[in-house]
Amino acid sequence: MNATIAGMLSRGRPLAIRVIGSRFNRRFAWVMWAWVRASALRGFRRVFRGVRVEWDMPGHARIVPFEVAGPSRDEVLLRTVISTISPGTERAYYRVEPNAVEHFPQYPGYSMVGEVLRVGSKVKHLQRGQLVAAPAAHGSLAVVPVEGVFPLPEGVTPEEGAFVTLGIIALHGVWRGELRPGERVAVLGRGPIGQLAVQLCHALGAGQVLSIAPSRRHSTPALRRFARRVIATFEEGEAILDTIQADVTYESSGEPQAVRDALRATRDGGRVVLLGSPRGVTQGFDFGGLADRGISLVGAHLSTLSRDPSASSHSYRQAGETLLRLVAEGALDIPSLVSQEVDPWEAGEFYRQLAQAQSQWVGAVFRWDGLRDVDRLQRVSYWTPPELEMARGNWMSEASSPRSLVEGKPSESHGVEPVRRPKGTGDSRTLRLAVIGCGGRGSTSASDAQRARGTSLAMVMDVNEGLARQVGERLGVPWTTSYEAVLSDRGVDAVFISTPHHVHEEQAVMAASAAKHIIVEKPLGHNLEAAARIVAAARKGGVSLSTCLELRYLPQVVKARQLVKDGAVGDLLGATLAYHLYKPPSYWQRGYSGGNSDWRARWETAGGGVLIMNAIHYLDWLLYLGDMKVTEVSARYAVMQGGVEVEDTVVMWLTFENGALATVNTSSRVQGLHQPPELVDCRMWGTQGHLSLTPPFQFFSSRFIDGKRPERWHSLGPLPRLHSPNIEYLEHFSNAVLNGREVDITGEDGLRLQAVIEAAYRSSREGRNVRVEYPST
Amino acid sequence: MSTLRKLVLTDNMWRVETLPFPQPPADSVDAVVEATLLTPEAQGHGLWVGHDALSPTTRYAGWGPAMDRLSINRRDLVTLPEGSSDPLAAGLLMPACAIASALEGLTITPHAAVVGEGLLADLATGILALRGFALEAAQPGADLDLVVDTGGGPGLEASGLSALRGEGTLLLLVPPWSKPVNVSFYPYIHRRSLVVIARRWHCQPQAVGQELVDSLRPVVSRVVGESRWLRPLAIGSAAVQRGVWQWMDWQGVPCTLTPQSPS
Repeated sequence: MNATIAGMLSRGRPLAIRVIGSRFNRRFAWVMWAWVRASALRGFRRVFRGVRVEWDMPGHARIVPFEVAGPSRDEVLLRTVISTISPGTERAYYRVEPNAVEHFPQYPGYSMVGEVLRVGSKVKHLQRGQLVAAPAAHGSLAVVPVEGVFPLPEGVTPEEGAFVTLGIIALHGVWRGELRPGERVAVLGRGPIGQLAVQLCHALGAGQVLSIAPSRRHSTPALRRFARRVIATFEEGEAILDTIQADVTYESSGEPQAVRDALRATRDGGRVVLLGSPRGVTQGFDFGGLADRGISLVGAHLSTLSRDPSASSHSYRQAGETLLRLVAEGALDIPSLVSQEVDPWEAGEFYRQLAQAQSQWVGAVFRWDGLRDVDRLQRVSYWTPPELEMARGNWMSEASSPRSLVEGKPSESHGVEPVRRPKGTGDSRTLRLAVIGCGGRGSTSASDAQRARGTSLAMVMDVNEGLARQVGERLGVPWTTSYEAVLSDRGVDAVFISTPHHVHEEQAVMAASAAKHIIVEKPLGHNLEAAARIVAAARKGGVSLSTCLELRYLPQVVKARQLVKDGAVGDLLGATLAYHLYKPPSYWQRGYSGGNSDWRARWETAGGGVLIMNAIHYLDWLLYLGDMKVTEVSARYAVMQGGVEVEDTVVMWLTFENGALATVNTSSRVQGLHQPPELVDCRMWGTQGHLSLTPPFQFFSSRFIDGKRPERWHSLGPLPRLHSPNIEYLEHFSNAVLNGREVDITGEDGLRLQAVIEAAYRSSREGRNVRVEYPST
Repeated sequence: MSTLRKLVLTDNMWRVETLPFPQPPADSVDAVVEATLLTPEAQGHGLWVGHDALSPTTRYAGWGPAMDRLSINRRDLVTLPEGSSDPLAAGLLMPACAIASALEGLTITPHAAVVGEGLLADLATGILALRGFALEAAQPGADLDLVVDTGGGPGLEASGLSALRGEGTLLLLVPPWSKPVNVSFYPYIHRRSLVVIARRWHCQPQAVGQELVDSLRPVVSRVVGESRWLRPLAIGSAAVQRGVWQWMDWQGVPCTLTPQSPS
């Protein structure tokens, strides 16, 4: 189910309407812009803007701004607190599995709790500020018809109320099965709908309820409160299905072949309810067998539940009220179904992860209350142009606050133009940077230097005149092909060396001699000795030296390091890193900018392949998160690609100073992982917990950490939004240099990392474990 | 050695073969078949009506090969209710009871359609009318409460589901020759919250009351008398007609009609 179905829940009317901004459809954005305003003007309504989850294409999720006309007479404007993710359904739609809607963009989600901000003139029973449950897509705001809105009863938390639509789906299914008190029930599937069905059958008087799934992966402790037996068919054998003899079996897994399993679990003359949406064709189904056994097959899809509250049969309203009453009475345990809280800004990574692997958790929710008010909801003028791109950063004016909306006053500001952070705020000094090397990476860094606070781009340099001119002219700064000219320029405070690895040493040493501060793109040198000489030269020259390992500034890494420092993991016991991507042969020959040098392909110039070139960032995480030192390395690398000297595949294990072990597996030959996306699986665990920098980022700890309940998985979020880790890196570097402090990421950091990489290469070449030799600094 | 006669379909023509009759097992009944109702799809099997060779007053019915003598396990025998003098009508009571008993459990408002044409469709139409259903055409979007599919198709594609309302009921009359099929339940059943009830029309359901049987007799008699889908079998000249049921009156078959000895 997705927003299309959410729309259907509200009798075909769109709930929170229309994207303003789509990568593919800017022209359409203007049409929608006009449509929203026409709708608003027709009813003398305001226009509101928020953000929501958009799947702009199969397998790609992002947060986009959107606009909606205010509530009409029988509608309600809600500011979302929590929206519940239905993993099975949303995975199916995200991946366009069979029987899922195939048009994009889509706006997933259909179950949320929000705060009433405005009500239509015919809505009398809801008050501003009241918390209500409603069917709406994942977004920071929603306009919904009042008949789909359920005030939260006393004692029902937003987390519980946000399951309202999922609960209604499950309850509708239970009703379709015509469950009678005392009957024996089997429920196939242990997703949120399946577990809700178990709970509801128990609450509605079933005799025995059995929960059945292939594994115990989603078997929560709370499930045992409601289910007489929790069966894992992989462990107990499928033959156990024939012994169950349920009066009613609810198939909630959506697995097409599970329909046959459901028949096996049902007694002759019983009922099988298709509660989950079958994602595909059931092979070899025998209607004759269905007849011989007298079993009825009952479909249960929410769209057929009557919207008329006075209907003689069950109605949608009756279902919602019944569900919330049962929650209030404590007959259901909704919190047991929530094992993951997701920051909406991490939606892209979350869905990517959801699509790639079977999740270990049952249910997940988006927490919209962690967003800044201006992001969640603001009123915009009729004339505000459409927002066409969603940048990560301060894309809304700080001045516009929805508080004024709640209080019924017009917002002072309607500004929604994406604003770059003002440069030099609080400090008029800037570090004048020259970027050396105008290839793809250097060009990006030059551009970032212009955007970073406290930094200015003084000039760019490349031995390739065409490249230097192109980047210099594009960015409006001087350009040169002479490195000496850069070093002799008194208008340059620091250099950012983004050149082939084997040139780093010479350029860095020269810069140090010229008293220029130095940033060296990772790796610090093309080998350990070169890196050591760079560090020594910087010390001798009395300049700051930093290795550009900018991914340390990713919010999830910053947060993870803090958690480790706070003791969430305890003493390290182990870690794992898998970093997989696909680099075409042309990358090694020419890079992404299409240059004519093959320095990346050769040991002499690059110093290595995927490990030193790409995986180095994530290897750095393993060392950096816990400030751990690697003592020994065992590795094997492989060169599987013709025409390239350097390795494209590495498998290694690390021994840390406390004896903990880590594995690293990286390859740049993994089909399906073109850049982007790349696949990063980075986890570490210790005596007290487990930390995962694998999306969605989360941690588990036995300790009370960061205000989070122990013994439970928690999201690392809400995480601050970051414009770019590279800009963040430059700002920190500049700030440290300008204030005479040591830079965050030092040359020594790069040196230590390079010592591990060097040991790995040696280990592979010599076929033995190698102790890591750290040069004395 | 006693013999039996068997109908064999060869080159689209029915003919009779004579075969040795095996000694029935101890727990079996030696049934003398009075008549067999055949459909070409059944490939030599049919609904039969007969009696115990040792006890002519007890009449049975069942599904089996088209032969004038059958050795049937007792537990597979369906005892025909009293008053079933006409063997043809008695045989059709089996599908009639299957249809009627399936309808008994339904608590729905009476807008229904029958899909398919043939003897079973005639029977189902008569029973629905008897039960007070308002019969309509199975047009897409007709918003019906019930569709009875007598077509015997392998899947659900032709079963008239598009004529049902959401949460409507499909009664699927399953032929004895049905085979497992690949089926997508999402569009056909789940998405519209439909109910599927399947019944074998060749098996008399358990616990059929005399009252139900008596109520069905007029319908069955009318179908026997009026249906264009029911014809007597003429040995040697009867080309098989798809959809047409043919009945073989074993009692009236002259032994001179193309009998053949087993080789």
